[in-house]
Amino acid sequence: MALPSRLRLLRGGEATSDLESTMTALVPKAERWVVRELGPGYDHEEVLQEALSAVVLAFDAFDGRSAFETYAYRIVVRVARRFRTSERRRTVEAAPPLPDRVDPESVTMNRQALRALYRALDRLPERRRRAFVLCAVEGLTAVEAAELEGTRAATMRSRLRHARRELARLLSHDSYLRELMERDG
Amino acid sequence: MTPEELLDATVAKARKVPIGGRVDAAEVARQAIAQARLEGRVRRARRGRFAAGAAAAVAVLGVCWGLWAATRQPVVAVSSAKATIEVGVRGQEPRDAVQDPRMEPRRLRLATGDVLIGAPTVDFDILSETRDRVVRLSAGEMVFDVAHQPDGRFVVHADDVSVTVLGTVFAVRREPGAVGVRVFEGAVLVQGDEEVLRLSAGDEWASGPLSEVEDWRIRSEREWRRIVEDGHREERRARTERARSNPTARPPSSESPDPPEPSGDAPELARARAMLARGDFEAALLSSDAHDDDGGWLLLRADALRGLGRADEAARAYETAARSLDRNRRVGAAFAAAQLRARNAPDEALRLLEHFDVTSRTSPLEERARALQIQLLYRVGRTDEGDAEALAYEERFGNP
Repeated sequence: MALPSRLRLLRGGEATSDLESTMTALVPKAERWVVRELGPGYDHEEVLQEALSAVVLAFDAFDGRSAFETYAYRIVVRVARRFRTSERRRTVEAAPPLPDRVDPESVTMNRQALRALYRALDRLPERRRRAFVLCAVEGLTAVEAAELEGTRAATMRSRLRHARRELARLLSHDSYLRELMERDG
Repeated sequence: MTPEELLDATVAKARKVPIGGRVDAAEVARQAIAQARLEGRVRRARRGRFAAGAAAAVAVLGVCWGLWAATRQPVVAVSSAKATIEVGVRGQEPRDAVQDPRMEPRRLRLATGDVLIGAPTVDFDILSETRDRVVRLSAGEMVFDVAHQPDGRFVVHADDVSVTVLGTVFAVRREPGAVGVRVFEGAVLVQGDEEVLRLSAGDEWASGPLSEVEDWRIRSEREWRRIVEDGHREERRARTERARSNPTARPPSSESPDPPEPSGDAPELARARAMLARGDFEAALLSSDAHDDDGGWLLLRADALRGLGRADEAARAYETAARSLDRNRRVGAAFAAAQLRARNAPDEALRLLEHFDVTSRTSPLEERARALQIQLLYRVGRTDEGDAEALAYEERFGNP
């Protein structure tokens, strides 16, 4: 029987007993949240380390009112946002080595698109930015994104709609990007 | 390409950039845990330093206040039900009345039912006997048995100290340079110029060194026992009942009903409770030795054992007490027993919760008891029952 996460706490702390395995399971998701939240140009591993450490510190305070993943997401995003708005941002972009059997040109184009997108995203209000990242980039449904953000699905859809409108306007001014995309067809 | 199409194409490309997978999850998790523990230690150390600093500052302030307070005369005021009794007047020195504690005290019963007891040599005046009664005690000691009355007051002034009574039995002793207050039942507020102390049953307070304190304690306690034993409270209650049944004959300042009558050993139990409150568990336990057939005493014994860290004995005592207590206290005692049993004997703890009906909807401890019950069910492997109880719990108390 699937129990609400709050109730799992009642099992005498079962949910908090194996900290290391819980955290290990969380790492891939947290890494994804960090990268998606920040975009390119950050030391993602450093942010990830700090975010996970914050999650561990907040572990005991988890009262089970939401899923643990939602709780962790909020902490990770908060830490990532702090990085994004602080002076520690945008150090050197360490491009990962290209994988084998991949067209270097298309990889470069993808990265350029990613950078252009995050440049535009950085100009959006915070909530609309996160709504777009979660729904359009990360591919979550409005309901899933709303649960993570602790809001209603309708609100999330509204934010997403506004974000799309503003991003389309911003990107349309990027002639290089337009040329790139049109050339790619 | 429209702006919308450009956006979609850009997002599609951006999503193709691979994410993550370059870190060793287990290693990252271990590092994060290690870092968090280090940060936790640093934070605790910082909090400890802050707390130590704050404690030092409080200690310095306390010393300063003590020195300041020692240089001035305090003010006592006792207020209660319907009367005001002044014990001395500000600025007026008490008379050198001769107090002979061996002489039989005299009693004065006011029309409102309150009883004032003092030695024959006590020097006092009743300034008012209406709703707010006022008695001025110029010298000596008195015991006051004041019924709780919500629309009246009972205030004692002595030098710079004032005591407000909240419906109680208490004693006040005044001698040159010091005022003492002892509370036997209920509570009083002792008020100085800038601070208020609350004294409860068993507490004693003095503004300065009192002479013959032990004698005073014995005398006042003896009078309290008499108050408990004699019938004036019954008369007071009967008068109240008569007034209720015949509202037209009700006096202008009607009395409220008395609090529940103490049993014969109530003074002793209250004193033992005061020991517990002071953290003197051994003494409280000793005093409970001779009373193994009364629920109140058994509860006190259990509390004392728990205070001494003797969990098994305390659990047994709570269970025994629960069998002879009224509903609310029975639930509390059973819950305490279950808590103590939870770690080493979860089956036994479950039995206690069920037997004493601690988890029922009418139980004042329902939510806590049900949470404990769910933990225990999981612990003893009754997972299905635990799940069912957990869902029921969530339905009743969840989604705050």
